[in-house]
Amino acid sequence: MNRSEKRGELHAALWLGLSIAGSIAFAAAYVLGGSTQAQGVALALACFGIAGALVTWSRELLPHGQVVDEQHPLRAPEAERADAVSRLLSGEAEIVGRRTWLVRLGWSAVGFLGLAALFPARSLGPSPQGQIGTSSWKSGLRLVREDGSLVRAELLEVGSVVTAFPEGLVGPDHAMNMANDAIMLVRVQQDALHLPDARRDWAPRGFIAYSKVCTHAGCPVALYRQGPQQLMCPCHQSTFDVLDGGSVVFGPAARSLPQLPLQIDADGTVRASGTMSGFVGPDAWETSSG
Amino acid sequence: MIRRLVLALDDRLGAVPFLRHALRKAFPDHWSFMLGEVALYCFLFILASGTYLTFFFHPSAHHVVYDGTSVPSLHGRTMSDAYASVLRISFETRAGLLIRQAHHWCALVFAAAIIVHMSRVFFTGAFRKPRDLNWTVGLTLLLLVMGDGFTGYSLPDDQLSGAGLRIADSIALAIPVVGSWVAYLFFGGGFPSPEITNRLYAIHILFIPLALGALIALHLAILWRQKHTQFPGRGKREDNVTGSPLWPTYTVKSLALMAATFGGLLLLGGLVEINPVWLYGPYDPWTIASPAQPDWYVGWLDGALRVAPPWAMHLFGHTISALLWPGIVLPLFFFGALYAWPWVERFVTRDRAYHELLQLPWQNPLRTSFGVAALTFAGMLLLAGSDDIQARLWHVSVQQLAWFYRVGVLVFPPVAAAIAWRICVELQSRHAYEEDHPARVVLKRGGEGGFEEEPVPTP
Repeated sequence: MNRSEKRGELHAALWLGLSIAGSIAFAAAYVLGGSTQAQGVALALACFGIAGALVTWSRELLPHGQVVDEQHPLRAPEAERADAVSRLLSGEAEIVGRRTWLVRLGWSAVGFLGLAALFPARSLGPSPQGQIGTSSWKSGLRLVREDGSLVRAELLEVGSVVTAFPEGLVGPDHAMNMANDAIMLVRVQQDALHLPDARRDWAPRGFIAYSKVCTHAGCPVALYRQGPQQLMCPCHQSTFDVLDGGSVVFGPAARSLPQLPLQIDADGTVRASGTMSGFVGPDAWETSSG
Repeated sequence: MIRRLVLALDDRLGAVPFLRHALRKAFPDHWSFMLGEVALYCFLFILASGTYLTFFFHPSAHHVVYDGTSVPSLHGRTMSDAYASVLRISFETRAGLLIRQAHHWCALVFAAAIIVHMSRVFFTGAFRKPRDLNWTVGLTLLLLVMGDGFTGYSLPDDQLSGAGLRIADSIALAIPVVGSWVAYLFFGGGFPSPEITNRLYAIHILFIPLALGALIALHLAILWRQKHTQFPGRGKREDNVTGSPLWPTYTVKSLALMAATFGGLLLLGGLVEINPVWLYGPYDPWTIASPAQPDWYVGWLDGALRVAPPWAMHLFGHTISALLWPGIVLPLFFFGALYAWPWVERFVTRDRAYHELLQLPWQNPLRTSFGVAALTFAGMLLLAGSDDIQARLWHVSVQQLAWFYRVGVLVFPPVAAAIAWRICVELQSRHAYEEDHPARVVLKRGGEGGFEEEPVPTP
């Protein structure tokens, strides 16, 4: 055994020793409840040790001879190719013959079977008809927070915002409603608002509510920028104007946020005074109005 | 032992001719040929780590109240069983967090290894006939890995996974005519349907891994049959392959790479926190974290959604969503172009021959420019997908950044392609010059006493 081979063996042995140490360290870390970091480093060492030993093996202990493979042509000789094709075609001719009408009927049968097999796919979900873009908001429903507590007008300062839902439709059993019903209730200076005439009394005392579901890709429009009075979606940065009926200021959204008309009772309870002004959530084929 | 096994197998299967051929099969030694192997070993690792995780994960939207003590901020909170089981894996299962994090890291490295491997195959022309077939198999593998990554990312039912699914649901809704049916049938109803976690789970651990396994087997079988390509060089011809023999040299090397890949993934999983779902909290559809980022291989699509113009169209009382363009049309075109490229190149160059020798990128300016443009395009979209983080880092407004990327996505790819073309052409002419003017000469004294230059043939 020559010197370099001996050195190679020593290197490989060191690597393998490191690997065994890593495995033992991992077992110890597991049994003693060591940290994830310790477990990871130990197990990684166990792997790297084996990798190092194998690299040493191939570099220092194995011959470096090269082999040459012939790259034979993949395609068969012309005669064989022609023969294979003609066998396929003659077999097909035997099946079909003059019975083309029967073959057509056979393909139709397969097609019908395929169509029949599609029917169970219908069980995968309910019909979306009349469901897309709707919310539970109706005139008279009171606004509550996520925990079901009533939203009270006097507790909301100008420049503050709260996420609200229709009363009775919150909690774990109503997750699907809450996803589409969520609104951002913002309080702004009433004289700063410039809503269209038709919406003049939708924001009493500067309380104004918009759907929290972005009209772009459905993320929550959760960021309220108090200075420019904008609502912004953190997913794709669609930005909507609070003062101007929820119109798009920036970003990939193509449609304004739907607005919810509000009224405030004498005792400060906030209610919806109508339904959402438009289609809630991202655009679909069914979306009709802008 | 080995002797008896080989003889027994040969008795029953006639395995010896194959074995004799297989053991001395040539595997080229160039490092870039190892990239695909990293992806292969990622598949093994992700299968093993994922199998372990299935023993603990509950794919259920059923509500539970968290009574664990590991995350005080979530104590007493109602959450899905899926999310609670991920918390248990992370905090109450020994080595659970290590394996969960290594599994997630593996998904990221897997996708990266495939993309780098495909870049190697692309820029050296390894996809040319007869390997155009395996190019399409490999591209399909990339799509499957992206799909498995996204479904896995969506399973823990945390804040970010829920937001990702919400966006996926919106993209499904954007399909003209049948979009809402597609969304309702896939999700099992409106968003967020309690059915979805279970369905994603079946896709994530059964259908896609099965398809991956089958296609990887096909990928390797085709590779085995067609043999490797090789870079041109001394003794390397169109009708041979030079390299280390599979046994023992290449086997030892490749096993070393496998152990190193596993070690790297475990090191990442142990040391680098990834997807800390306990910080995001369980998914409530009306809340969201900011900044919100997907995994990197989805980032370019998220970037496309961010910079796309709001082009919704209204036709006869119906709407074509603005999401259709970045969410559906763009990825279809992008991957369609990648699938078609071997045939596009064949059509353009009228080169229908077999190719066993690789090209260097400068030898084919058209291909290299196209590849550079595609990578620049996807890279710009990927950057655009994190514009909110960049806005914080660089103290610019996210609107300015969005405009930068809107313009950049269109301008930079052709510019990069033009630069790549120029560099290729320069390199071509330099190589042509060097071939005409060999640098190494010997001076020879002739019989009359004069000197003459004589070129030394370059190897």
